[in-house]
Amino acid sequence: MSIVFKKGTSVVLFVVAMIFFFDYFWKDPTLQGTATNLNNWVVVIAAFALGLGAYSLTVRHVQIIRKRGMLMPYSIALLVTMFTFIITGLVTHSISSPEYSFIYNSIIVPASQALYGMSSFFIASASYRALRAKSYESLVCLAAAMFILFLNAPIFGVINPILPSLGKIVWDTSISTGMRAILIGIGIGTLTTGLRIIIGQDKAPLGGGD
Amino acid sequence: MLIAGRLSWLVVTLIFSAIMLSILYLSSKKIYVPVIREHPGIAAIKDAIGRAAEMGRPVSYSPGTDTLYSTKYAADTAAALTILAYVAKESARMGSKLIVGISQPTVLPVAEDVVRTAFTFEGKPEEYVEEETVQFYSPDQWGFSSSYIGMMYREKVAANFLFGEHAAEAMLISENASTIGAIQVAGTTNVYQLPLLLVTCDYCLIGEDEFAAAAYLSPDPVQKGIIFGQDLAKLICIALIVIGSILVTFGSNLISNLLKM
Repeated sequence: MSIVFKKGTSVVLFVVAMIFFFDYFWKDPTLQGTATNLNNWVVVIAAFALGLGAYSLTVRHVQIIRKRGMLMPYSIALLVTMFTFIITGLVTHSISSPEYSFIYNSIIVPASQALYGMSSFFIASASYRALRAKSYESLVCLAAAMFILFLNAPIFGVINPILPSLGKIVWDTSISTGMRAILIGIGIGTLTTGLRIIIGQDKAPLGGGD
Repeated sequence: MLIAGRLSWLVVTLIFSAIMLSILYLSSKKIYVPVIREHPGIAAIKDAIGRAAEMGRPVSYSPGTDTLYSTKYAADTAAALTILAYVAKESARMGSKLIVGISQPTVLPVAEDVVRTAFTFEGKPEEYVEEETVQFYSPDQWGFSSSYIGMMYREKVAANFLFGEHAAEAMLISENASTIGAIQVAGTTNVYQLPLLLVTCDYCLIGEDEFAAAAYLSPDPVQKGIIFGQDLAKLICIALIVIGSILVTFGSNLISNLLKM
């Protein structure tokens, strides 16, 4: 990317950022209209980018198929599924048609649910590793986890009604406040990152790096 | 006309921005250059790439599953791309193969450009392979995670970096990377995924640490000054919380009323 193009991009970025900034605080129909138009452009650009993604995916998997390696069957399955979806959508002119919904509900939904379901087992294995009281930090982590278990697992309420209340106290005091502190930091960090990009100090998100 | 209820936010944003820009100006003029300590997570990035190079195994990187125009996580993705520039440079320098997994199509051309430039900068443009170094997977979180996990197992990655916004798929990716023995450094501002990344990864950049890391890893030392500005803004927030708590205890809602203006 040429330096001239990059500088031009930085200027455009600064102007667009200022439009959105003032649109958030200032009530002005012209400003509001400009911000809405810019938002619509984002949707159009994102749609083009999706085409770029599909192209990149196709090129990579065609290369894998040409090499006739171990991954060839998976690449064929991916390309067939992707183009079946695209063609079905184009032929039926809708992504809510019965044909399209049938393919979506019988492939994407069960596969996604299976993966999501697996995460519970991974949480269990990761918790087992993390919550062994090997150090002071892991002991604190274990204690906090126990209090949250007291609050959320119904069995602890049956064992002793005080246990869920104890969990609630820990949740309302130390855990919620800790989380809010992190959120305040994130807010300030977001402002910092935005500023660095707007004033052109950080050029990586525009592509090419510094 | 100013929108009702947003005056205080405008004032706070302007004050914080002025502080950060002032510190940046002072450090650029060498009047005051703050000394910033290195975060262990940042040091671990370099160590992990070095370890991967010694083992002759690749490094995998994910800049998250959100876009650069998301209202909530755009800054997260931007920071992840800045860190990617550093990871790509270090990988090229140390001779580790880098594989970047992309979820969002809008991030793809930017990530490709970041990595290509880093490789060229290090004098190894031939090591950047089109459609291979930066791989697009899927905008769907599960499609992305299954492709990413598959890549990690096939390539036997020695280091895995997860930055940017990750939702429930973060657990799946990091736990699988842990299974194959990859050293992991993660960073996210998604507070719901933070505990999961903390327990599965070797190093975790919590919340704003990720933004600070992006500034810290910048080749320009002046940019580190903005981290100090960030800390000053945090001090103001702490002061407001303490003063507000004391005033509320004595029956005054001055601070909360001011912030509602």
